Amino acid sequence: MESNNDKKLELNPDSLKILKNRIYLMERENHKTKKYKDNEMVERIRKLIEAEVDKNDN
Amino acid sequence: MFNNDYELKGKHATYIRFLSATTNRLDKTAKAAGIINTAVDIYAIAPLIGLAYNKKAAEDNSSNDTYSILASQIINHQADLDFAFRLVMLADNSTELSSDEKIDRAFRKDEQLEKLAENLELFHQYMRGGLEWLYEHFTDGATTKEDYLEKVYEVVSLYKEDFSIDD
Amino acid sequence: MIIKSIALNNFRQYKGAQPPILFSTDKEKNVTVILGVNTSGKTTLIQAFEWCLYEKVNFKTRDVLNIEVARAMGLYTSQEVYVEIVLIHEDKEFTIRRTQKFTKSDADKIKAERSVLKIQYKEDNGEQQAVPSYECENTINKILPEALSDYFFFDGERIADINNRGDVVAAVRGLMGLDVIGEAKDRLDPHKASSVTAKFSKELDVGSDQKNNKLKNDLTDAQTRLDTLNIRKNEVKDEIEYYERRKEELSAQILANKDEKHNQDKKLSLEKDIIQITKNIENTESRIVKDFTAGAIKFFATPLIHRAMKVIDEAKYSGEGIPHMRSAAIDFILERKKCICGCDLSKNEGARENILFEQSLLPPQHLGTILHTTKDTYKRYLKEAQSFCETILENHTEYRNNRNYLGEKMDELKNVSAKIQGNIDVAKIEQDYQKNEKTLKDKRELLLKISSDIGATEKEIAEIEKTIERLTIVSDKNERLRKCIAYAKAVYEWLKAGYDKQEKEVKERLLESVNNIFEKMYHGKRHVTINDRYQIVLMTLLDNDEVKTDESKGLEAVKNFSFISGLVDLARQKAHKGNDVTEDEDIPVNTEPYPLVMDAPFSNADEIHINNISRIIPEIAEQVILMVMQKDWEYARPALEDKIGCSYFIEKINNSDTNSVIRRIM
Repeated sequence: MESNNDKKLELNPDSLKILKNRIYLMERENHKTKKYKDNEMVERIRKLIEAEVDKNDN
Repeated sequence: MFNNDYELKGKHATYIRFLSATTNRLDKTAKAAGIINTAVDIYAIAPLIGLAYNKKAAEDNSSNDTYSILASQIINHQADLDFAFRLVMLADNSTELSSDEKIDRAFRKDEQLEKLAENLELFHQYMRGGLEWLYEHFTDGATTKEDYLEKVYEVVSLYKEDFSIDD
Repeated sequence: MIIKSIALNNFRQYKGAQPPILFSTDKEKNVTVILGVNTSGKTTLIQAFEWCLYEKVNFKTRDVLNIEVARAMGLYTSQEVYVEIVLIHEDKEFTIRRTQKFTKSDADKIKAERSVLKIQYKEDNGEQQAVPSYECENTINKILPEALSDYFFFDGERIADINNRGDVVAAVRGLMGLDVIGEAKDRLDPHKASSVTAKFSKELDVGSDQKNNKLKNDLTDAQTRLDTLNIRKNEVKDEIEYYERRKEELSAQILANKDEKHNQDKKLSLEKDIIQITKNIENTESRIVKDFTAGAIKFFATPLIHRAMKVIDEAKYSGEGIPHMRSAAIDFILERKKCICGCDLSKNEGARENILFEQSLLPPQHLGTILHTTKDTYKRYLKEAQSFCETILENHTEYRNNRNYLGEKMDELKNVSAKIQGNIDVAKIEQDYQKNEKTLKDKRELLLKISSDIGATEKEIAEIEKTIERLTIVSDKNERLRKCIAYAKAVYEWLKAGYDKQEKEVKERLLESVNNIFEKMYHGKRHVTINDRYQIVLMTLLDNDEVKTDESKGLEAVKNFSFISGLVDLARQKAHKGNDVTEDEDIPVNTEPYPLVMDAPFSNADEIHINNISRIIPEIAEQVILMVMQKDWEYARPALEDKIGCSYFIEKINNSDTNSVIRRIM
């Protein structure tokens, strides 16, 4: 579901690195503890990504 | 008497024409006083004025002017003319006649045939005199129709005064 | 993870508190052997691990409590079952104890309370720190996830199934941490509807850009319209100003010409008056003549009348004749020649003369009568003369007055006319004024309408701007979403690459590992391949072709064992290499070496295989804990002897199945 005017989006490599790190850790953590349900995990990861995106916009 | 045309001559013709309103009726631009309706009226009035002022005038032939009063008019005004005539006959003092005689000539016109022409001439003399008086007074300081009309009162007032009428 | 010890109390056939089984943690002699006869409780030890860590049992709960203890319980008394494991995980020493209380509620009923898990770990300073109860389960999962436990608490009886079970895939993945990556990958997989990426995408407002453009056009249109309206508004304002000035001008003109109008009106009025007066004058003129004419004779006769009356009075004939005697009557008498008195007139001349004389008094009317009448008439005329004068005066006065009046009016008219400019048509000015007023009204209404339109357009613009802003927010939102999606995808790609790579590696290594082990055991005659489902397929080299061979049970066991070992080996390698899933070094991944706890690993193997396996075992795990039957041990011992760190013996008390003890041998 892409919109038609796809611009080449610049991703901040630092942010990307942070996200990779955090997401993986989060997943690993949760894999062991099963603390969060799937939809909760989705939300958490969303928030992570959104936070990074916002950080880069400001 | 008073059943034929009567013709005025000379200045009297002019005068009567001047005084008659008929003149104005016939011709609005006519320089006429027109203060008495018709010539026949004047014919009846003038003798009285003439007698009052003891003014007689003979027929005039200083001009060729004539003015005819038609028989029809005269006959229509017979009463007035008779009245005027009688009055002149009675009131005239230019003769030595007695009162009775005056009455005779005033009322017995039929019997006074030979005198009739004389009397009529007297009448006409006074008439002419009256015309002159009228003319004189109506043209005195009057030149316009308005003047003439206003003169009516003046003339009447003058006459009134001269003969102490109304006193 | 290394297991240090396990202590049991009343756990199944282990009556009472057992001394803790201390496992060898030595790097060289890393094997702990627990010997026992059948049903002595070897399996129970595994079960103890599983119960303690996961509360996992494949027996009924009641059977947790030692039967003898249970029977011996007095009414309303309680007994405790616990298992305590001490292990080292990530350099921390954990003490995990699960306790379950049992109470005898009546003669045969024993009520079990919920088990309580308590975990403590030793701090760096030596202090024990309790893990909060809600964290305990998590902690255990971190140490040794339950899903993996099947592979490290190796149940020989069940081993046959292992390789065929589908969750091998999961297990391997779990081991390698691939499951984490897999989950993470799935979590971000754009093709999965539940993924983060998909959720971001779903929130993209696709239409907004198109809408945005349309709105921008609408906005431009509206602004253009607004500009036009404003220009028009100003134009109309100017026009109004012009017309107002014109109004003033016209007003001034009207005012200035009020007099003119007044005069013009007056003139008209005067003219009307003059006409009327003129008419009156004409009438008066007529009357003057008429009245004069009518009364003149009588009037002018007046002085004469007086004289005449005098004459009449003086006359002798004033006497009357015979009243009512007519001349015709006398004619008759004369004719008849007889008088009324009877006198014969033909003979009396004097009488005849007298009669004739009398007749003369009567031509038709008696003179006296005539005179009388005349006098009456005269008297009447005199009277009339009076009113004549009045009438003449009246007429004269009226004439005079009217003429004066006329004169006045004409003077006025003259004056007024003089004042009139004549060429100014005041009526027209007034007309113009009225027209101007109307135009002004129309323009004012137009202005109102334009203002209203401006208001509406401004409102429209505000609405559009608001919508644009909203869409911009959406667009901004879209922007943000796209960025999020981009990041999510990037992370996904990275995870996917990593996963694929890793899986490939895992397979390769596993294959390598397993083949190594097999090699060690079978010297190259056989080796295995691993399919996509991580199933091991034994291949035998037969005339240069590799063919899938059927497997004997023993071989099966070996195969399975190799697989497990391969996994463990892999884990160990990973742990030591410090390898991680990621390409960059930043993310530390802890893949600890796992101990191998095996219960009757040799049960299905023959002695050769036992031997083979035994040789391999110590090399593939950090720590090996073997539960073996005495008889199997005989075959294994030689290979493992050097590696044994500790050994125990499970003894049945009185051959009871319900009472075992663990004794240390070595």
